[in-house]
Amino acid sequence: MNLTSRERGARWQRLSLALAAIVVIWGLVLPRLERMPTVQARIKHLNENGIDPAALFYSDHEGMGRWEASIRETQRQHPEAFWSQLPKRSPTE
Amino acid sequence: MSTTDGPQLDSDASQTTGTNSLLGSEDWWAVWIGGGLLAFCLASVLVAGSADAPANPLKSWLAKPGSWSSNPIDSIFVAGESNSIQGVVGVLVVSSVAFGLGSLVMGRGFTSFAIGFCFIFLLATLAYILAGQKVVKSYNLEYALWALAVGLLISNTIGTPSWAKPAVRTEFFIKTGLVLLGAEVLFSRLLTLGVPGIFVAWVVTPIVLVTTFWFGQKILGIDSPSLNMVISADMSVCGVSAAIATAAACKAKKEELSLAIGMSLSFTVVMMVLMPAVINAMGISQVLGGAWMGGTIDATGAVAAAGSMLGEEALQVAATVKMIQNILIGVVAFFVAVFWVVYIERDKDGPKPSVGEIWTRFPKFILGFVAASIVFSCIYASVDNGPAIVDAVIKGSTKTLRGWFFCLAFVSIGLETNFKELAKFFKGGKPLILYVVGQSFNLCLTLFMAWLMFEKVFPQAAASLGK
Repeated sequence: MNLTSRERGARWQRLSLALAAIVVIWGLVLPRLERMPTVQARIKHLNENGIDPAALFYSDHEGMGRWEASIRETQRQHPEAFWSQLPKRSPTE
Repeated sequence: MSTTDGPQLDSDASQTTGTNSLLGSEDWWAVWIGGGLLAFCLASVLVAGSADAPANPLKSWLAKPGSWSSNPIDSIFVAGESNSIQGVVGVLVVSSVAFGLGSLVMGRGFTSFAIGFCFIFLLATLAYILAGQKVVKSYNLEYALWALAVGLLISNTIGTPSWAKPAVRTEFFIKTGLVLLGAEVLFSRLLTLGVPGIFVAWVVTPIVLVTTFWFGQKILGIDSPSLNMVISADMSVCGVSAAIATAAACKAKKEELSLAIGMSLSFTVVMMVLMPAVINAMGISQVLGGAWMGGTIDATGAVAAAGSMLGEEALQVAATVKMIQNILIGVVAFFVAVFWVVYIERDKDGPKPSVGEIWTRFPKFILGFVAASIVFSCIYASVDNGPAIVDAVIKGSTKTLRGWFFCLAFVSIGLETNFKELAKFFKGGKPLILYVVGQSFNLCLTLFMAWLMFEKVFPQAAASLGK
């Protein structure tokens, strides 16, 4: 595609503007947001629990092994509750 | 057949015509590269670690940028603490050599590929850095979104440079990433929550998937079956990972995958915030609430974040239900691929396709994906210390590579997409209606099934989990 130098300049200008917006948002706005107590508390809570909120697959969570082990342990202690337990009916029912 | 023009996520048909060679097809190269990397990583763990405590010697050689607060350089280098520069360079070397070799053998130059690949890798690194900002990360804004945005930014401003185009290989990156992902699809995990978990995750999900696809085709009359399928799978199974797998299996267009992921991530952020509040307001127990969220919120990360807002039990149940759903993507991808070859792609007026024809059209990388899943499931379940060995392979190396390959794929999609092309897929708002109707059905059916399982049929399971 043949572009005039003016068109090329406009394209680079658009890219520069977008990059400037990224620098402002990621460099100034987001760090300020992070200092808000509610956001800090949320990030701390997620870190402490081994949660990756941006996880694509279960294996991305640091805490998955612990959560799964806890449920497996519960199932080991009460196998019937997860595989065959139906609510017991009293003889009068 | 798809009626909207655009590049498909399967460009292999044209490449293999006449050759059909195991070395001439991108599908097979995805299997060789993915399988080779899995074998190499497994061998490294087995050779370097002891039987009791497997260790992955490749861990420091494969890394991605981490999280940061106010200084983006912290994502790759923190003085005296961590340094992922070596790992990032390691991934660049491994991936450029592997994909470059594949390109060379498939008849494209290595040098032109390598030059373009460095540019795409740089953009992928930028996407990871944008996604790593702690506020961004904490609200489920995944790297896939930023990779797409970075690619779109370049292609819609200065345009994708011609020297970078030889390395814009979306399908190649996605298919290889999926073969690596196969190692994380471990079937023994299917049983973690017993019968209730299987019903909530493996019975409801296929019903919602099939119903949503049928609704889109028969009621809404969506022109593109592949767009319909990718949205249905993304919404009913597990978000971005399911969208990637089904898009590759049904040869969806790149714009269709972008659209499905954009919609899913937008709704996920809303559901992640609203569902815990609704569950609290309705007075639903943590176990039932966790199962409901695990079965309905698309993204795996958002499920855990939302579950933790209710409590530890809800977090464990939600994350486990989602994990069981994650395992379903192998089965979904396989059957979608078969369904596409046998029913969607065939000539409606012609005879049924023969076995040979089905084999020719079948996306072969799915075989690598399924084989990796079976092999690693067997190692996990039947080898001494199998879980530790598999964990060392995945966490120390293949998970990192898989993430990079998907990130490279989304940058490539962005580099090939024009905003105007993306907009036409929204024509009539049908994709949005499909998502909303499908997700509403998903919410109702999952709540009913979770209630039936945890409150009526297996109340003691809920009681023991709640202790």
